[in-house]
Amino acid sequence: MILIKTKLDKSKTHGLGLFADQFIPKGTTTWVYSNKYDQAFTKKDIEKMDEVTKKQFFKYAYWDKTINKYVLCFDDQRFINHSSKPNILSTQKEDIAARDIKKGEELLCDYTKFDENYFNNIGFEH
Amino acid sequence: MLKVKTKLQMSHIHGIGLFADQFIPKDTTTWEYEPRFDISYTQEELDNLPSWTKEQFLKYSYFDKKQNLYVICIDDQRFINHSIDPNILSTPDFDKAGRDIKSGEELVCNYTHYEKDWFERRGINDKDFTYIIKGK
Repeated sequence: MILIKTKLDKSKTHGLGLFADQFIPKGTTTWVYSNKYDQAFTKKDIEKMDEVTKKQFFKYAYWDKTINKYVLCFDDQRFINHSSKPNILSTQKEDIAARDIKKGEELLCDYTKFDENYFNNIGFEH
Repeated sequence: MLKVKTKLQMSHIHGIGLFADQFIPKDTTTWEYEPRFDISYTQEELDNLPSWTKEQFLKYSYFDKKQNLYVICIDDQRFINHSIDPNILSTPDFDKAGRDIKSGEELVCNYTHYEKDWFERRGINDKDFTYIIKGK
């Protein structure tokens, strides 16, 4: 669940991205996993999806090995793009601003910090 | 849950929109409510969200009178924009193509067809949203 003001916009990195819509001081918690709002699905759940939905699902989801489920953020957090030089430090349960982030900057995190096999699991190129 | 190939793009109407990524013949079912995947929340759950997330949530969700719950579509369906001249005909349970839709066209529906007071509930003036898609 996103805890700060963000907006979606065209990304320079890839497709759409998640952008800060406020100044975010270093150390701010920007997102926490909420088992009430964010949705977790078993591998079996996903097998029941049709191909169109499955493809979309994997674009947005990540694997959480602590609960053995795929997680899909219910809000715009699912649009955060990957970078090996992120301004957001991620764990499975919490994201933190690595530095002061200006309003209008794209938020980027390293997908492999919360899902070490992300690019293999999801079948996308790094 | 979307039943056709779509993609997200910047919309000429408002922010981001949902676009056909295949030819969609008239009467094709484009979306179906799927309680296993589309997510429902009570008014109380909604009120417990941080204010900014609540605002985002209201933008994406619709209120289902039958269930007395807010539904947020699991997939990109949540980005479909409103039009008083829609190419998608909506009901609370399913959507279908109102006419042949070309690949690359924006999909638009009339929010008030599945939630009569969509604009009132969100404190939005529907006059700001009476978009008509031109150039069919």
